Amino acid sequence: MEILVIIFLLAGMFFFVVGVVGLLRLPDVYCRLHATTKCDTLGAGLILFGLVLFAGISVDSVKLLLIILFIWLTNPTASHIIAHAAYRNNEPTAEGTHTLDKTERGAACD
Amino acid sequence: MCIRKENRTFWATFGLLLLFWLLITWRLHWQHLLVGVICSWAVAMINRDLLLQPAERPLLLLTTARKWVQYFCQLLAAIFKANWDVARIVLKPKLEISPSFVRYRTRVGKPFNRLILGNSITLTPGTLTVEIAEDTYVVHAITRAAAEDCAEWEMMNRLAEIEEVERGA
Repeated sequence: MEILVIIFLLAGMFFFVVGVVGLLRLPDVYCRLHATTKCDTLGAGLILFGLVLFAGISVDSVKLLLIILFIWLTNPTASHIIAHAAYRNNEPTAEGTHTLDKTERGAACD
Repeated sequence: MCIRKENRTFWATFGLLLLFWLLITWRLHWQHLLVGVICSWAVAMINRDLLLQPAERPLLLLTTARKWVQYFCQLLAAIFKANWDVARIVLKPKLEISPSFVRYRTRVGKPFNRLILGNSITLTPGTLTVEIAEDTYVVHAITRAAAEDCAEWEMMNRLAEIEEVERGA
């Protein structure tokens, strides 16, 4: 069991490291947000899930599961707001950013 | 006690808040219960006008419950897969990104379901909901392939399917 917990913690840390590397390497606001949302979803998720396993069936694990749930609810909302603010302010995008418009095709499908 | 139909949303919210309170306090002493009941009632009451009415949110039906469970399992699988893809992109010595905005329309109709779709898109690494205006989504994707996929994401069809079932019920 402890080995399993350690595996979860290490996997979580791996995703946090990848998130930080991404934050430093990627070119613009939006791409960097991709890296940081990943940190929070899987990184924090795996670490907390490892702690849930460590706590076993108890009050603590229920509370930890609630924390995971709330992170997974609030994190995309916060990321969306940052992206939305950047979009509204015409934040410069990385070179070679395409814009695909699929609205017409979507209407045709209906 | 008779619960009137229009008040069901209110009492459901109250129950959910109370359940949350019980989970985090984890004591069944009467004082804790009393405080919990008062607070849950007050919060539900203050936010009365903001509560989601049945037309705006998914209905709690047995027929759709299975589909919801399926939806969230599939979402979890999608998150793991996409995480792996983005980790590979970030760690490769040469950055192979082709950032794209994609703008598309969705068939999903209820506001709450659109919220779930928007959050699912953002939770899945590699795609990020930038704007939702009525039925049009603007999504930023880290690669062009991810953008193409996103406009015809199967999760979106799942949500639309659930709405079909609700309409039939």
